[in-house]
Formats: sequence, C-alpha cells, structure tokens
Amino acid sequence: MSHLWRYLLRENPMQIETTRAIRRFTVSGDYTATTQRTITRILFGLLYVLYAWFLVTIVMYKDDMSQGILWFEFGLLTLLIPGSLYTAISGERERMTWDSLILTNLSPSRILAGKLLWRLSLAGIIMLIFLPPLLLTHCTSHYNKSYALPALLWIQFLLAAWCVFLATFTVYISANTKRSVATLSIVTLSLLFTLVLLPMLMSVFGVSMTSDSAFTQGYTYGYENTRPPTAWIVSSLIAHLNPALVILWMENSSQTMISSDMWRDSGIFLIAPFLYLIGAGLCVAGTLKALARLGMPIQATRKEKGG
Amino acid sequence: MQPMISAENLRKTYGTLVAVEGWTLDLYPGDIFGFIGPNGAGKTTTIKMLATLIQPTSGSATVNGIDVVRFPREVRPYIGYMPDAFGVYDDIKVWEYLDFFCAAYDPPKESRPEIIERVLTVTDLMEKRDAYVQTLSRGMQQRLCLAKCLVHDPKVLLLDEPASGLDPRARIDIKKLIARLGALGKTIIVSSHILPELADFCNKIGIQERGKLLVSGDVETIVRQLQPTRQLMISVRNDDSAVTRLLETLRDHPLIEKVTRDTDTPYTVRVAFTGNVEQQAILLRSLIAEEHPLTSFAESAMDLEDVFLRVTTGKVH
Repeated sequence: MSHLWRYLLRENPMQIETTRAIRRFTVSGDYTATTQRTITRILFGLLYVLYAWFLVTIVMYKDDMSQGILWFEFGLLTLLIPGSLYTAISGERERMTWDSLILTNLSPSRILAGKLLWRLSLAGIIMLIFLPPLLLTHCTSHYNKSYALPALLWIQFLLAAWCVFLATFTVYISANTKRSVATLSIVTLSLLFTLVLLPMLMSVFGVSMTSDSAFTQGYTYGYENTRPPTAWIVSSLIAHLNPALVILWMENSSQTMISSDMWRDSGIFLIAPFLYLIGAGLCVAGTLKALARLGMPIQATRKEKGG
Repeated sequence: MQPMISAENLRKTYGTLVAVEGWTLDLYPGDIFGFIGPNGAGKTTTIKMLATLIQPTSGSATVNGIDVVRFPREVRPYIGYMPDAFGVYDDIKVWEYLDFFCAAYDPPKESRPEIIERVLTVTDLMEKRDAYVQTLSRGMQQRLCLAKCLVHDPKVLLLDEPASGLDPRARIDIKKLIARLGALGKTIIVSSHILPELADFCNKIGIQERGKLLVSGDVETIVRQLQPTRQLMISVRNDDSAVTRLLETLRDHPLIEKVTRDTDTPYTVRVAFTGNVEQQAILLRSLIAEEHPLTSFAESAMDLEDVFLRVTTGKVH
C-alpha cells in the first residue's frame, strides 16, 4: 500500500500538474496572460463575496439554508470538475506534449493519478469550505431542520462520490477524443441529459403537474398498479440517481415524501454514491486502457502536418 | 559493429498515399545523419516511425538492436526525440520542466539535480534555470526541448527540423550544439529542408524525395558517385587567344575527359579530370612550363546543394 502511495502520489512526476495548478489559481506564476489573471481574480472575488453572504445570512436570519448550500455546492463541483479536466488528455495532444510524455517511462496509471490528484483535492477543499456554513445553518436554525445531521454528512459522501465519478468520466472522454472541445461537448451534453433533460421528461410524462412541486413527484406515476415498461424503469432509475434530486429526497420525509414512487420508496437512491464509485471504477479501467493504446505506435491512416 | 539504427525497407502508406517507401539505412555510434528533403518528402513520418510513434505499414527497424515495432517501450529509453512542432508546459520553471522529464525516466532521485545541471550546461541554458518556460524565446524553447531529450542520456537523438523558425544566431547555436552532441558519441538523425544547415556538421547525409531515400552515405562518397571526375576550373589572363591555346593543350591530355569554356566566368575553362591529386599537380606544372598565362587553377568540389539538385526532381506528393 505504501509502495502504491509512493508510486502514484508522493513520487509521481505528474505532481507537476499540482504545482502548475496552484500557480495558476493563486496567480503566483510569471503570468503574461493578464486577461486570464483578471478573470481568475474576478471569479475568486465573486466566490469570496458569495461565501460571505452565506455566512451573514445564516447568522442574521437563523433560517435553515442547508438545502440551498448543498445545491450550490453540488452545482459548483459539477461545473468545476469537467471544466478543469476536459483538457486532461486531449489537451496534451492538442498542445503537442503528448508524444514527449509517452516516450518517457511514465505508466498510464501515473499519468491518470497525476491528472486527477489536484482536481479531486480541489473538490475536497471546496467541500471542506462548505462544511462550516452547513453545520452553522443546521445548528442555528430556529425552525424545522431540513436534514438530520447524519443525512447532511451522508450527502457529503454522496457529493464526494459524485466528484470522483465526474472526474474519471471526464478523463475517460478526454482520453478517447482528439479535441478538448469535443470532450467538453460530450461531457456537458451527458450531464445536461442525465441531470436536467431526463428528470424533466420523466416529470412531464409521468407526474401530475398540478402539484406545487412537480419536479419532485414520483416518476412512476400512472404505473402504480401495473408493471411499467423497461425503458421507463431504466430512465426512472437514472433520474433517481441524480444527486440534485437525492439531496432533495434526503430532506426530512415529512415534507416531501410521496408514497407513489416505487424507487424512492425503496430507498434505492441511498445506494447512489456506491453506484457512482462503481461507475468511476469502470471509467478508470477504460481510461487506463485508452492511455495504454495511445502509448503504442499509432496506425495512422491520415498524414499529419510535416515532411 | 552493430548499427545503432538499422532500417530495412521501411514503408508507410496513408490510404493510397505512399509516404515512405523502401527506406533502408544503417547508422553507427557517433554518426550524424543529415536528412534532407523538400517539405512533404516523408522525413517526419520516417523519424516518427523510428521514434516508435507511428507504426510502419511494412519493413523493419531497430534501435540498438531492438525492434521498434515489436518492443516500442524497450526502445524508448534509448531515444531522445525532438519533434518539429512541440509544446511546452507553462507555469513551470526551466529546471522544474527538466526535473519532471528526468523523474519520468526513473533515475535515482539523488542524481536528478546533477543531471539537470549537466543538460543545462550542455544546452547553454544555465542562466535561464529559474525562468518560466513560457517566457523563453523560440530559440531558447528549442534548446529546452533538446535539453529535455538529453535528461536520460539517450544513445540516439532524432531531431526533426530543430532549427526551423530560428533566427540566424540561434541557428548557429543549435548547429554547434548538435555537433557537440555528435562528438559525445551519440547517433543523431537531424532533418532539414535547408541544405547549408546540415552541410557543416553531418558526416552522413540522405536525400529523400516523395518518400524514397534517393541517396545516402557520407558526403564524399555520394559526391564521388555522382561526379566520378574532378572538376577543375582553370583561368588565364584576359585574352581570348590564351583561352584558345589552353583549350587546345588540354584537349590532347590523356587524363582529361571533357574540356569546355565556362560560360559564367570569363577566360575560364572547365575540365573533367580523371586523374588523382598527384596527376593534377603534374598537369599544373606542365601548363606553367608551357607558359600558359594562368591566373587560377582550382578544383571545383560539388557541394551538398549540387548533389541535391542532381538527385532530386522537385516533385512532391
């Protein structure tokens, strides 16, 4: 285990990615790109302001804002991880640094670990940053608490697993596409489909829209007494693994639980983090395979630029 | 002695386009092979096949006796490859960049600082040690890329257009650097489409056109193959009668194959001489003894440019 730790993390030359990222985010490198520096500073400034606003609101109004914070945290992580990883492998090929990389003794597992390390560390830091306001709002709330404390901590586990899945999925796509823009498009469309479009379709076709919270109603509406079609079951299952909705369903049951949803009633969404981790494992295996393939002499069928 | 690089009938096709065909060559330790050819001749494809980056369609190649197709990972430690177009990582310093590549080849950790000092010294980048990579000029980045190729002390260097895009000063610097590396016993293939770049420091050349290696070997042998006779240029005083008398004398000489009046230089005769250097000296003595008013007597050696123009047709894919 210690050998693996040393090989993949502590003595992995790909740690240079972390150094580069720290310089980029803290703007401590010798930056000539002033636009990039300005954008980075503005983004960080906005995040500081938002964070301060959260804290002030929590203390002033003593209302339970945990759901809002959790959704914000989820949204931020969902944007940040693909945004920082979509160039991981395809970007190396575009920048023409990939050939130099594969000619070294670096193994696919070391390359992958180096690519994931700082992005996942950053996700972890963000989750840690959001933990104090979450606990503060939970403890200071005057009214009904949205979540029990174990549920809050479980959601943190869910988000961590989601980050791991999203990161490995993005790297997998990046290793299998030649252009970073293609990686970003595929990942964005996949996320839009599974996180937004699919629940919307399920909601439209399966839920009574008269409810004040149509989006959260049971996706098996209309099939209470008969077996729903397989496609419906699969779609419904995927929709139930949507972290945003799981966050909602983990809220204290007295407020939102509706008995007509078979998946939710079965509590299947509780295994969502484990399914994310299984998905992440598959993505890691797929990425390692793709990197091993990219490291071999290519059977080019089209001539590249050059003599 | 086992060749360091050996290729036998290497061929690469892209669909119907034959990029490289029948590429056969042996290079030994210390050889600096100048790989010349117009753009689109297949130089980059050939170098990439030797660098284990592209799989040949057919044929075989070995580096240090190891098959580049069957055992690419085993070959790679022996190769330093500098592509014609390359990228560098930004936000890191020059020494960090080199340390990264050094560490990627798994040398003992303690030896890394020493290796970095060595390659920085060889490539004259010591004063840029702590500079950020993205702040270096194009020439400096070329040198950095070369330094990166040297961190694992490879026996073979494959340099694809290393001087492209450089100013004259940087070109001279990189040429000197390659010559220095050749003197260290490395086998180097350096490609270029600019002839004077290679003429000075390569002991072997190969001229490639439309994927075919038209000629290869040491410069002198190639010149001898293409020009079996010595070309002498003999000039006399500005006098037409002197030129006519000289032409008559030379036409009767048994070792002279052909004599023509040179159209470019006035009062000069071009001679195809089949004799050796001693016989050339005897010829000079006899012309002086016959009181020809000689102003110059010189051998016109065929240069790389002449060789190139002689063997290529100017056609590209």
